[in-house]
Amino acid sequence: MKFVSHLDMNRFMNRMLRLSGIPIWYTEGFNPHPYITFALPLPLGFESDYEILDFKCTNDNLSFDEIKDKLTAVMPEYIVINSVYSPQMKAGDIAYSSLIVTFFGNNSELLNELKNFMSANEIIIEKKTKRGTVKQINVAEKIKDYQINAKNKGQVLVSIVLPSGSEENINPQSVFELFKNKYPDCPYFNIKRTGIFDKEMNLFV
Amino acid sequence: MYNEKFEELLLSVQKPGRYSGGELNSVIKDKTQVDIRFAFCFPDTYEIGMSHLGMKILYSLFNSKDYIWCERVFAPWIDFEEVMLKENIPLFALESRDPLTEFDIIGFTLQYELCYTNVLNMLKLSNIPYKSADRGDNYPLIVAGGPCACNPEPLADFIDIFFLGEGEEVDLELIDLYRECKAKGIGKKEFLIKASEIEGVYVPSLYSVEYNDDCTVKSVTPQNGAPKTVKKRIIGNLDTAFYPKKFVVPYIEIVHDRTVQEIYRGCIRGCRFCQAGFIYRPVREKSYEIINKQAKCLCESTGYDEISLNSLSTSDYTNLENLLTELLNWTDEKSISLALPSLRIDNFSEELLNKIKHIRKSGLTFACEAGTQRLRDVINKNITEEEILTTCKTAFEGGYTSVKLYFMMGLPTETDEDIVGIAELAQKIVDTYYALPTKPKGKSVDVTVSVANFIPKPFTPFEFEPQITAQEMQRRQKLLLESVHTKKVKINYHDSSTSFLEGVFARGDRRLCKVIEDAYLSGCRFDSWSECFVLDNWIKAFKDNGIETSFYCNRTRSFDEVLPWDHLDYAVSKDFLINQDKLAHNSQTTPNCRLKCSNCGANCYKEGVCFEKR
Repeated sequence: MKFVSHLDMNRFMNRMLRLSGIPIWYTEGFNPHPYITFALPLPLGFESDYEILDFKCTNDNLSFDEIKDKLTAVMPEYIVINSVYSPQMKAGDIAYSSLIVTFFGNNSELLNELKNFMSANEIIIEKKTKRGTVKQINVAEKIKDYQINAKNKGQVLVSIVLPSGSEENINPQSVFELFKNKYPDCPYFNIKRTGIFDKEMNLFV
Repeated sequence: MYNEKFEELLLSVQKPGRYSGGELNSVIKDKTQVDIRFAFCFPDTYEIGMSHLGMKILYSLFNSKDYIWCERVFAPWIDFEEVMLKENIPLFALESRDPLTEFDIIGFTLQYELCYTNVLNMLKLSNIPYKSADRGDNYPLIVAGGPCACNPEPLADFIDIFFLGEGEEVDLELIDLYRECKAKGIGKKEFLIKASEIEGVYVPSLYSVEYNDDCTVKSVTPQNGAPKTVKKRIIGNLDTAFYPKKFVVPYIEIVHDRTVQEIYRGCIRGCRFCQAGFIYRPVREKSYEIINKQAKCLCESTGYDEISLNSLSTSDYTNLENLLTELLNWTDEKSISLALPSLRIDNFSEELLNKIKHIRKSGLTFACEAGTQRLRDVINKNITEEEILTTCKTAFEGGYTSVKLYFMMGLPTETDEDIVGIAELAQKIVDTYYALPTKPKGKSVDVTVSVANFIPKPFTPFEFEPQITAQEMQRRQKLLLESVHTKKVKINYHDSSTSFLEGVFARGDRRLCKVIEDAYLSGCRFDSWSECFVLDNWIKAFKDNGIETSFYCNRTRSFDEVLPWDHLDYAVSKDFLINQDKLAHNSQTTPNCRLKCSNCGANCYKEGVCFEKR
C-alpha cells in the first residue's frame, strides 16, 4: 500500500466504502461524488499506523461498531480499521505528526553521523513555494522532538515529531534526503507515520 | 522477493504501483499445489494492460481451474527496466514475484502491431531466448492470441503457438494437452505436432514458406500432419460462456477503470475498412438478463461506480432499451453511472438519448469515417448526411454542446474533394447547432474532428488496397486544416510515421522477423509511445535486411496473389472479400446482416445472426 499515492488512496477508499454497503453522503451539484477526505494526506512511499478518514454516513441507525465491522470485512489485511467515532477536532487543528525513520544498516559511524546531523543548529532544506520560488527553511528549530535508537536487527530508528497540517508542513523525506546528501554511505531508509497531534500535542481525533 | 531492497528500487521509479501487485481480487495460489503455471503477458504498461477485457476474462477463467495458477505480467517502463538490468532482476509476475522462467506457459496478447518489440523485450528480460528455434524443452512454451494473430507471420520465428479467434475454449484445451504431455514426459517437438490437431491452434514452425522472385508468397506448406488451413474458434453461446465474477481492481490510475460488460461479439454492418467487423463474425448477442446479472455481480465484487457496455456497435444490440431499463433499476440508486461507447450515428434516437441523458454527461462520439456520401458508400459506411445532421441536432436539443467525430484519411478512391468534405460536414454540424432555437443559452458548440490514417488490414475487402505514403498523408492533413474556416471545429490527427510501420506489420510476412529483431537490438521498444518511437532505427533495420517497406503497404495486390495469411481461416471467404472490393470501386453498398445475408461464409459456425429470423 505504500506504493499508492494519496489520490489513488482516495479512489481506493471510495470503492471499499461501496463494497462495505455503508451508505455515504454524496456532494450535490453537477458531478456528485462521495464526500470523503483524509485529514492529513500521506506522501507516496510512507507507511502509517495512524490515518484519519472523514465521511458522512447517511444512515443514523448504524452504530460505530457496525460501521467498523462492515468496513473491516472488505478491507485487505494490511489496512486495519482501528476505530470509528465522531470527529472531535477539525482538520485545521492538526499541527504535528510523529514518525519513525528506519535506516537499514547499523554501525557506529551511521549513529554518529545521525547524532551530529540532528543536533546541529542549522539544518537547511529547500522548499518550493506556491509561487515557484525556492525558500530556505531551517528545520533544526522546527523539530519538536526526536530520539535515535539503534536496534540489534541491523537497523537504526529515528523517532521524530515535525510540524504538519495546513499551517506548516515539514516533510521528513526532505530532511533525510539532505542527510543522505551529506553522508553518501547512508543506507536505505523508510518512513512510517505513528501519530497526528494538535498544537498542544494532544492526539488528533 | 520482498525486502527493503525491492522497496527501495520501486520507490526510485515512476508509478511504483505498476510493479507492486497485491490488488483486490488478485489471485494467490500455492505454487506447489498446481500443475500448470501460466504467465499472462500484456506487452505494454500496467495502465494499458489492466484496461484490457480479454485479459480479465482469461485470468479469471484459468484461475477457476484448481490445477492452473495464472498470473499477470506487464512491460516494465524504461525507468524500471534500467533498474532491473542494473540489479539483475529478471522480469517477474505480479502475484508471486517469481521470474518467468519458473512458468510452464507464457502467453502474450497481441492487440496492436506496434507492441511487437515489447514482446521480444519481455522475453529477453526474462532470460528466455526470444527465437523459438533457440528454446529447447527446458524453457516455457510461448503462446500468443488476440486480433493480430490473424496475421501473426512477422512474429512466426518467436512464438511457438498462435491461437486464432476467441480463446475461452481453445486455450483450456491447449493447457490440458500440455498438462497431459508434461505428465507423460513428452517433449516440445512432439507436443507441438499434437497441438496442431486442435482446431484454432496455429503452430508456425510446422509451416514452411516459399517466396517468388518478386517477393510475394509462393506457397505455405504444412508439415508433420499439420492442417493445410487453420480455422479460428468462436464461442457459440455467450450466455453460457464463462464470464468473470470478479475483476482485479488496480490501485493506480489506469486508462479504463470500471466494470466492463461485453454485450455481444461481431458486427452486422460490414464496413469495408474494419477488420474487427470481419474477424469476429458471426454476430452473437448475450441476453440482456445475463448481462444485467453479470454487471451487478461485478460491481458488487469490485466497488466500481461505472459500467461500460462494450461492443463494436452498441446501438445495434437488439434489446438495448430492455437492457438499459434493467440496469437503471439498480444503478441509479447506487450512484453507478453507465457508459455507452461505440454508438452508431444512424440509430441514435431521442428515447436512447433520454435514457442516457441523466447519466453523467460526457461528450458524444460518432464515427462518420468519410466526408462525402460517395466515399461513405465506397467503404460501406451506410449513413447519410441527413442522418448525421439529425443525430447531432437530437444531441444538441438534448443539451449536449460538444460532439466528437471520427474520420479516416487515405481510404481507397479518396480524392481532395473528399478531404474538403470532412471540413464541410463539420461546418454543417456547427451551423445546425446555431440554427437551433432551443440551444443552451450562452454556450458555444465544440466539434472535434479526429482523423485517423487508414491502414488496410488482412481479412477485410481492402486487404488488396495500397496504403498512402507518409508524405501524401501529410499533404492531405494540411489540406484538411486549411479547409476549416471556424474556430468551433478542432482537428486532431495522428503521426504518420507510426502508421507506416503499423501498415507494414499488418500485412507483413516472415521476412519481417529479422527486421523486428534488429530493430529491437538497436533499442526499439514501446513503439506506440511517441516518446519512445525511433523511426531511424526502423528505417535502418529495413535497409540492413534489404526490405522495401513499400512492398508491404503501398502497392495494390492482385486478387490472385497468395497472401501471407491465406492459410489462416477466419470464416469470411476470400471470394467474398474480392467481391466487396469490386463493389467498393463501383461505390456500391452492401446491406447489413440483419437486412440481408450476403453469404460471407461466417454461417459455417451455425450460430448467431446468420440464423436469426429476418
